[in-house]
Amino acid sequence: MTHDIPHVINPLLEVSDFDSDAGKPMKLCLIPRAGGAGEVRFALPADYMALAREFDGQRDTDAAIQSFIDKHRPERDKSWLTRLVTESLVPKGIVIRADQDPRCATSSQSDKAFLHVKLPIIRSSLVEPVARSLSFLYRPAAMILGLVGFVAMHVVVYGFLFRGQHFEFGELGIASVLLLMLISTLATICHEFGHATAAAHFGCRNMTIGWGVYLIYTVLWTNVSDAWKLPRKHRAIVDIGGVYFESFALFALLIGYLATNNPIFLFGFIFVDLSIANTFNPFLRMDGYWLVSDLFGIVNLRKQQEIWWQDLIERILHPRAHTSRSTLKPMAKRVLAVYTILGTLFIAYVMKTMFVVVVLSVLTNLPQFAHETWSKLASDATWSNVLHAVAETGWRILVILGAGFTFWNIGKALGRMLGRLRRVARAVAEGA
Amino acid sequence: MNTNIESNNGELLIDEFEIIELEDRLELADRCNGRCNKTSQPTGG
Repeated sequence: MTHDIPHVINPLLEVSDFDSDAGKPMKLCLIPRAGGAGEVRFALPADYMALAREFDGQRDTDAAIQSFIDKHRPERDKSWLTRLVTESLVPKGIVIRADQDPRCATSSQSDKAFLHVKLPIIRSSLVEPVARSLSFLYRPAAMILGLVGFVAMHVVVYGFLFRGQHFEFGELGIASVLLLMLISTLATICHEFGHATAAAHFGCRNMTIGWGVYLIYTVLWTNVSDAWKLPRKHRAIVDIGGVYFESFALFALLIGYLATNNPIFLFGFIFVDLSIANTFNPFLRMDGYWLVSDLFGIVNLRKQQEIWWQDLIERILHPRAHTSRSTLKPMAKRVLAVYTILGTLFIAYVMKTMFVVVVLSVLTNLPQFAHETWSKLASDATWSNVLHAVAETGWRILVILGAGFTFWNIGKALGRMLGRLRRVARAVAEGA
Repeated sequence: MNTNIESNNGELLIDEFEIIELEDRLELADRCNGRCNKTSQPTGG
């Protein structure tokens, strides 16, 4: 940044309080992305906004920073504040040149976030009217009723209807499998509208629903990034909103079973329940991840894990001069430590399981599977057998590709992380 | 020292000035892949 050019605080900046467990008050800044597609959100210490407001389009940078120092007597010196402006506030688009297009924020995240494939399927212009019309379901009385209903349904299903029944999932025909896939998809759509409706209830906008591939899962997703502006308690309700709405699908399945006595509805109930259990896994980026992040106020939880490792390395290599780079409060730091250790064990377990399933099972059995499938189709090429072969081949391909992608991505991420940790260790050694 | 280290933390979305680029909040839910008849075999009763 040339210091002579007058700068101004971005006129399109939307600022709100940011609820996290950082050690100091934080603000949330929302800036339109360069090119006009969406926004980028930054959380920053609240006193930086007072500095940014000193840029009025008239004064040069030195004068603006000096004015801030005179008014606020900050702990940091002028050269540090100048670097803050030139190396962070200006590149991020929080402060811009007076003649610059304010739609200028660039994100360092991938467009696909953490998904392999990310396709929007229901635009926000369709999601929002539906979500707003259903938002009465997030009134406290409705939610309490929903919770009671959720517990009651499970008592009825597992305490009475399920007793004495014997289910063999392997005996399901192709029609039943397709029906279960349909049930699963409909329940997942309910789930996503649950997130969108909770967000709409609290005044969020721009919720889009889409389809994607995460690790080896095909998933539906809802973009509720606008929920960052909410208090943590409301963000947590957005997180559990998916399961809340999915319980309506459970209720429909229960009614379906009671009306028809067809066990496929009970199968469906179990599948939806399994998917609900899976969604609370905090180590995958599903509802449980966001719930841990929001309940404990640890922003960008996955990224904070690496900062925890960096702190650990520095503490081991340089215990006396160690200063923590994490800005979290002690309680959040303890939660992060537990989460990081358990998360690392979980990733190791997943990689081992994936290796066993993919390499030792699927890949080694592939020639035998291909031979048996071909023989079966050659002798009896009915539609049912063809569809079954397609489904069986399809999931194998999906598992192999998914595991390949996952190994590749985890390997790349680990490589980058080890590189950064090595730089930390080197910097510590040089500073010692 | 922190400066040298943290300026390399671009991918962490947190810079040395404690400014955090917030992650996109995508709330995911997985669905049956067609393998749902083999993932588990619970039996009732």
